[in-house]
Amino acid sequence: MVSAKVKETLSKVLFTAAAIICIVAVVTIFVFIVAKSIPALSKIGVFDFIFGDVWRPDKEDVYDQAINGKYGILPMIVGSIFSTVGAIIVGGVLGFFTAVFLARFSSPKVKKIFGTVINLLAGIPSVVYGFFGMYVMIPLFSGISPTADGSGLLVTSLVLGIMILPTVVALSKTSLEAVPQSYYEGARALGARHEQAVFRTVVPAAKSGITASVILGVGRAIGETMAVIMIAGNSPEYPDGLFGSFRTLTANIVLEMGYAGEVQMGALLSTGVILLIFIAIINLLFGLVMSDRKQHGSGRRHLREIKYDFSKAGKVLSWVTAGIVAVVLVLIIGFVFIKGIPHITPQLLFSDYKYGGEPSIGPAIVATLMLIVISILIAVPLGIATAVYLNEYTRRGSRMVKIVRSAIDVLSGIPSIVYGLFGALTFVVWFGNTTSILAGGFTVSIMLLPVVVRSTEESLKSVPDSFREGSLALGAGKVRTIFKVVLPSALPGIFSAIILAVGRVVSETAPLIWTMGSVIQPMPTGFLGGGATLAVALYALSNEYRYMNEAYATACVLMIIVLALNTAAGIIAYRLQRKLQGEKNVKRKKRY
Amino acid sequence: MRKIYDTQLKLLKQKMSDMYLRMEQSITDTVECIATGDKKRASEVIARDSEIDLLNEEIQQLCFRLILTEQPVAQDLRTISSAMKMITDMERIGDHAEDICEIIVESKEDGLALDYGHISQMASAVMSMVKDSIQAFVSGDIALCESIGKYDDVVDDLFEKARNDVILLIRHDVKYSEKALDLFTIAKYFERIGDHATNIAEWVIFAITGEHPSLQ
Amino acid sequence: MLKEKKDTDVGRKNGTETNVKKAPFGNSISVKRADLFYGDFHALKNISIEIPSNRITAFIGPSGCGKSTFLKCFNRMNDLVEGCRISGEFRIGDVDIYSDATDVNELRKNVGMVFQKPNPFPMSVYDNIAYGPRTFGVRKRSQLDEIVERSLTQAAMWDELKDRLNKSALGLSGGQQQRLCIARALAVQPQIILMDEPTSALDPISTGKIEDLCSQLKEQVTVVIVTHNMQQAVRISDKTAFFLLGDLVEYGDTEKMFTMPHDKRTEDYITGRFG
Repeated sequence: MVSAKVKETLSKVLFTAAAIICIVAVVTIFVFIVAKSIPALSKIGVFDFIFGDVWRPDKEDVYDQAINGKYGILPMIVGSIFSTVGAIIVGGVLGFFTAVFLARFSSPKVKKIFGTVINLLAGIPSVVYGFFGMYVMIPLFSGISPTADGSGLLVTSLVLGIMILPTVVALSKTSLEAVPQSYYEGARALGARHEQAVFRTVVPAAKSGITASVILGVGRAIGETMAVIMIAGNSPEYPDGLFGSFRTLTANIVLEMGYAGEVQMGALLSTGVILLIFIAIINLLFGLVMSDRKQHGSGRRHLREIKYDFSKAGKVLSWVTAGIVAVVLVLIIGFVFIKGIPHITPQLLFSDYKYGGEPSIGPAIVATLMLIVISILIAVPLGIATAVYLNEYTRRGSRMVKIVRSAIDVLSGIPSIVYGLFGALTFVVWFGNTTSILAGGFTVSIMLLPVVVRSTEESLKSVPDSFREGSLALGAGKVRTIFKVVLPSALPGIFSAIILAVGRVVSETAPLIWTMGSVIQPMPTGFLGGGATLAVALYALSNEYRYMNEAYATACVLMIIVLALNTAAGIIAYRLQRKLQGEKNVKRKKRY
Repeated sequence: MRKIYDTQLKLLKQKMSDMYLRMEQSITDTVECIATGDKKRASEVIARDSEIDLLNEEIQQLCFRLILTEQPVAQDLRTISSAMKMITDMERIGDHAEDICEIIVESKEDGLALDYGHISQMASAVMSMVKDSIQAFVSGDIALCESIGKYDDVVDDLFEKARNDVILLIRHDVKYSEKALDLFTIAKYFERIGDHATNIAEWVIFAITGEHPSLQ
Repeated sequence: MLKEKKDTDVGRKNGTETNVKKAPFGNSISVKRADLFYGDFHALKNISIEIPSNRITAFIGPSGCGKSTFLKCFNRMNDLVEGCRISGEFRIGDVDIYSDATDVNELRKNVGMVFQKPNPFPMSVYDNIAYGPRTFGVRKRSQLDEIVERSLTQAAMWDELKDRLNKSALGLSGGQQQRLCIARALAVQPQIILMDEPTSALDPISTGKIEDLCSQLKEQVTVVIVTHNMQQAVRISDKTAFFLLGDLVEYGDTEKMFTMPHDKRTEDYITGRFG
């Protein structure tokens, strides 16, 4: 029998180790990418790299000879910035007014349904958005495009705008709802109409929260890869007008990674570094806005009175945008379903795939499941252990907590393609120098860590301290308290975290293409073999116009899975919550 | 802090001294009536007793209310609980004064004064006991309270003597037997008043020290 | 060896004590010159007190006077508080509870605690009660059944709950939850039970039940209770300690303290003329 003391010490060591692994992961990713990009940057020259107009890599370029290719990424930087700005104009405006509508104009019922659907939007895989843009919007715009090709900046901005909508709406809505009701009532008591009170009092008070939501949207837009590749046109040039073909930083990485030469690979890594710098700036801005918000609460700053009364227009806009968003939602979901459901056949779902034969997503479903198993097996224990360490073993505000927490924040901010880049150069090399489910699993695991850690931490925080005290006061040790009282009580949150993580695995595409496989493949031979997940399969299928129906069907399956997972997360969390709150009986054989 | 409570406590003390004053007046009048046989004044004492009863009732209500609403502890608890005991004793003293005065009113003129023998000494001794108890309550003087206990022994002795006086009177002439019974009753009332005054002194001590002594 | 020890630990059978291991802790508390600091804040100042066994001792005093803090010294719950330093001598029976040789968990087994807010675990009634015994190695179902029945009977809840043992404890009313917490504490047969304002969140009827329970419990255990409710201290406690700004101002028999307090500050506090 292991003595209690040994058990306590062992557990503490294990939990701490998990937290340290998180830090190590972040540091490794950064050091790896920066270190690997230095030779290329010094070869190309930092100035020529950032401000060069031409991107024309030469596969034969190596570090110890003079280079022939051109490696300027300014067009991509501009492309990223333009598409992000476009996305913010679309998504920010739509998101803001929709949030105002949901928070202050809609009936509770509408608010509940609308809110749920918008949250579902957040779960839809980006490749589905790309697919929608590619098959619905591009043909739509082709008629008005001077080049007769609808792809380019306009479509990209629109699609990215819709993609960041859930982020903007959710955060803005929360901050609008957090404005004290007394502000609103005060305005009404002075004779202001409802919309005046909302737009002249409530909205200004929620300003910093709304700004923060837009900044988060920027982060999401700039890091987006798959959707962009499918609709931007991808030529490495400055976007020429609304329909000009262009390429973003993320797209640059995923497009050329598969076959890059030595210097080219270095240049792609350097692109990753530039992307990280952008994300760092965004995080910094976000931090500034948030800290400003805190000071705001202490009354150091006051709101400026708005001179002009736009409230009537605002009211109309709120209704109109909410209507637009509703229509877009119905369009996306409805279109994919109507076009897809008839083509979901047993043949498509369950048969194996032979190269050259009819496409089937049976192997993709198996590969997805295998990927889920691996990544959950790695990320969930590690994530939960880290969260337990953060919440149970450290004092609030200790330096270790700060380090781990910012490591987690950084991890969640890194664009997924950067993970793909990292995974392709490490895990793929480790596991037999070829793309494999295992390599994909490891890559995705790191991405899942922040999701698991954060939501587990939230649910651990929601376990009242009185439970811990109660257990300790009965003479139970820390380990017993954590495993028998704290974790079981946090179970609903942890469960929904796991399901969200599964949803994330199902939707991810960019980091998997060069770690796990980019084309539709036969049944996976094992964890060391390659495979394409459903999302990757959709990407692959949509590039081949021959298989449009199959693509619709796959998109449909993907969405059904993601929606089912989201619903399941909600239901399970609710059920467990209820059980814990004692409304349901605990099943156990009756003895008395 | 606790303004209403303090006001009520003040009111209690106010009413207590009202009651005291009336009781003191009754005792003084009674003692004088015994000496003078003034029936009109005796009737006034009888009338005053209902006022004392009313005050007793009021103070009791007030105390109940304070206990119910304020849950007094410490000094307040002692003040209120001793007040409740003291008013009972004061009320009894008032009753006894009334009883004596009734005897005075109904007594026949037969040449025998009611301050016969040692009764007048008892009367003045008891009167000073009552006055001392009032003084002790007002000033919180424990030594004075204790001296009241000693007085009580004197009164008991005087009662024995008054009783012997009455026995001698009956032996002397049977026609005084009715009068003699009145005299004995009066002596007994004074003896009881003395006991009540002693009780009051005991409760004054309790209110101050929290200990209830036995002075008898 | 270890296993055997644990079996005998809770080996009482229907009240007849067979094979009971003598508990290392006694049931009286003795504190000498105790000081407690939270960082720079001197929360308890040079406190000495002797708490007798099988009596109910109440700690009273205004918020922030240190009474709860002091209570939590007896089962070392203050160990969990950051920056908390304790000096002085704390003895339970003959054992110095802050010596290195003392096993904190063993201490807490012997010194049970009931908190201000009822804190049943989100488990069944049965599992709540069995939590403590299981912590100390009782696994046999029949034994656990006995303990559950004994503890609930002790807490005067057996008849109320015997048909609901498998239902979640969180479905009970607030008062029942708190009594369940008392039963849970009793399940490991402590010598002392600390109660930190156990009725402040409860209705008068539940409060009454818990007060009755306390009075019954003192036959078996020593009870130390922190309370804001002075009437409660008067009703149930044998001894009362009055704390003010980290000082133990007065300690003595409850009845005495509430009729004739020695200290002016005690008088002012208990009569409500404080501050």
